[in-house]
Amino acid sequence: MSVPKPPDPAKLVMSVFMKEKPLFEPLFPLLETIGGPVDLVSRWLDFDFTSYYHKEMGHPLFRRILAFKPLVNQADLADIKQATNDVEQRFVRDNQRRINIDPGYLLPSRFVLATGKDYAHRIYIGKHIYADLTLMYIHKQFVPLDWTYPDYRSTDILRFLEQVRDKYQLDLKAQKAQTKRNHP
Amino acid sequence: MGISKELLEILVCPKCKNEIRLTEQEDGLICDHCRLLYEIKDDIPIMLVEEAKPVNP
Repeated sequence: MSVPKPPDPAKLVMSVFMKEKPLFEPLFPLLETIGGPVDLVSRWLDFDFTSYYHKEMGHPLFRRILAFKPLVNQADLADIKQATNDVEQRFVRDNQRRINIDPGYLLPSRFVLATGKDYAHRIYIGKHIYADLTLMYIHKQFVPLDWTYPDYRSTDILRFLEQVRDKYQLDLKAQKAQTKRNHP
Repeated sequence: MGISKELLEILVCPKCKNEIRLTEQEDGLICDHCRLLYEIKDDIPIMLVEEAKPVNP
């Protein structure tokens, strides 16, 4: 029998996209309320891999990716998704979303996104939310899977997430050393 | 190894979200708008506003 042990804390990452770039300014502090201080922010990236959101949100759409300094409990992903859904609602106008927020977490071996949409490869994690294994880290790089959305296959996002992973490894090492000092 | 050009092109200042540039010594990233220096440690930029250092004009 395997002995269950606590999982590593994870690096919280959020992708946000919108048509109106100025909305990012009021959005940013709301996201920091959920995840704590942001320690990596991407420049604006074109979100042009799908027209799925055009009817609701308009187009062209622009995306930023953010990574947060405080590490999170993996089991909190559904709560975090609910919190970002609440933030999305704050920006709704005429029953149309103006901001889309996709939270996820990164571990040394994988990148997982939270979603409200069920599908064969997604695992239910409670509170009407599913976890999508989006990327696996193999041979020193993130690798997409058959179901990975095209935008998460793009070089910009893969390079950014690899940098987030490097930073996360550093933070995880520091956190483990601190825990060892506190509980020798 | 140093920070890659690709990464530099994708990162922005976490405070003002404007572009950043590498220092001449390649040991930090500077936001000219905020006049802040983000240090690079072990090839990883520390992009936290509270840990950034002011840059003298």
